[in-house]
Amino acid sequence: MQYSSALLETVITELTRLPGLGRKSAQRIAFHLLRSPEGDAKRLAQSIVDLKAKVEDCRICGNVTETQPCAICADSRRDNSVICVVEQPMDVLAIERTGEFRGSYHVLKGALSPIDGIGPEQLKLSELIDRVKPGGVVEVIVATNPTAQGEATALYIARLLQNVPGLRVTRIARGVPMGSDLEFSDQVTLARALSGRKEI
Amino acid sequence: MAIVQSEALVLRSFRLGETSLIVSLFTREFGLLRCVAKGARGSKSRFGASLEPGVRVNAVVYRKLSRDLQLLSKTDIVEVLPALWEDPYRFAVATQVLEFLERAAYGESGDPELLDLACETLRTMSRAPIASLELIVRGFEIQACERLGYAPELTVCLECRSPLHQGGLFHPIRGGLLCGTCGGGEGSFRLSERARRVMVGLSEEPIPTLAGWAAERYPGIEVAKAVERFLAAHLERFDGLRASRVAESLGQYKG
Repeated sequence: MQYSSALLETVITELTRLPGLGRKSAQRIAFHLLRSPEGDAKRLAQSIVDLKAKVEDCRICGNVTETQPCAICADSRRDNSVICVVEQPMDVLAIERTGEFRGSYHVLKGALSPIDGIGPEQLKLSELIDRVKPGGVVEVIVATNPTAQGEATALYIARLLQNVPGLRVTRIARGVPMGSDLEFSDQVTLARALSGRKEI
Repeated sequence: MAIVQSEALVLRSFRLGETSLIVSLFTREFGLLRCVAKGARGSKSRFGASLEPGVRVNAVVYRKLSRDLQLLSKTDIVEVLPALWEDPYRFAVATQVLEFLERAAYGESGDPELLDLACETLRTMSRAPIASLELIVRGFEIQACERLGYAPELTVCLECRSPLHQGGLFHPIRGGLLCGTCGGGEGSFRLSERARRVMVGLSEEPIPTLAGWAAERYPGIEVAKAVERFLAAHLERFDGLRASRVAESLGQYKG
């Protein structure tokens, strides 16, 4: 133990288990909590307890939610015939920020990653098939990351759903990001941008 | 700290913090290097697609011998094989090559021939028929073992050194085949003459020619058992390649 207080040491040890936090940062946060009003620390502690107790996966789309189904799946104004497939709940937030998509989501909880031993069984793919198979879904937009793993996952999904009648499987466009410079784009990115070009 | 430049094969990456990656590189001059690529996950990252698995790059690294984790400054793509990513099964089998290097290559001295072998294998895999991919990866594993100094003995009996013509008893720990007279002992298993000849061929033929082999006559189960048990006996903490298990599960969606 480094400090005279075992409780302080415990908090620091627990904080260092969080991603991106080293011991120095954990010490700073622990001392900040110690100096801050009791109410602030209690609110933080209670919110973490509530998070773990009340937040779960939506039984339809797999997004994080406190209600079943989640607010997006329960929203009658959204178009449930279009499903956007993403890797993680954070990706739902990113697409929602665009304000362009009014369909529903499906969160895979990862992507095919052979080197990590993540195959189709580890992803929420059977749940996706269960949503699509009964009919009523006209388009599945695969919005996995533009990485080797994301591409492999997208192609796997396309093959998985290729025999579903009346279903279109599409992939989000890939290419040069807005605000960047063509000069500094690598050949893979530029090749994808060229092959996915659109008439204007 | 020295700024060094080396050709490298990207093996894998892990997320680090908000936008960075830890990247495993198999370099020509320095062997296996683990580097931090700051900001690599950002949409305007200077690394672009260069840190995807299986890409051959020229890497500029701030290298400090006392550190386990180096700092990646810059990468330029030398060779990229998008065909490897365009089929999930092909991607999983190609990943076996990368996983093998990450788990089998030790130390900080480069092995240019092993790097060339891996790059040639990936290149062959990118255009080979789906049915040939398994035998190509087995060929790579046997030839890579040879490069690393522990190739299996497949032509003569380990004990009496008599030439083998009718298969033999494969002993993974002793590192090869024994004839029927000498006997294999505990842990050995029978390897047919056909499988023995195939394994000799896999160890001797240049990788690109393996793509033209008749995959339907390839004794895959026997060869896989021999190679996997051999690797388990000679590599530390090796219980099979994870990518190999994923490839099996993707097999039904081949090509």
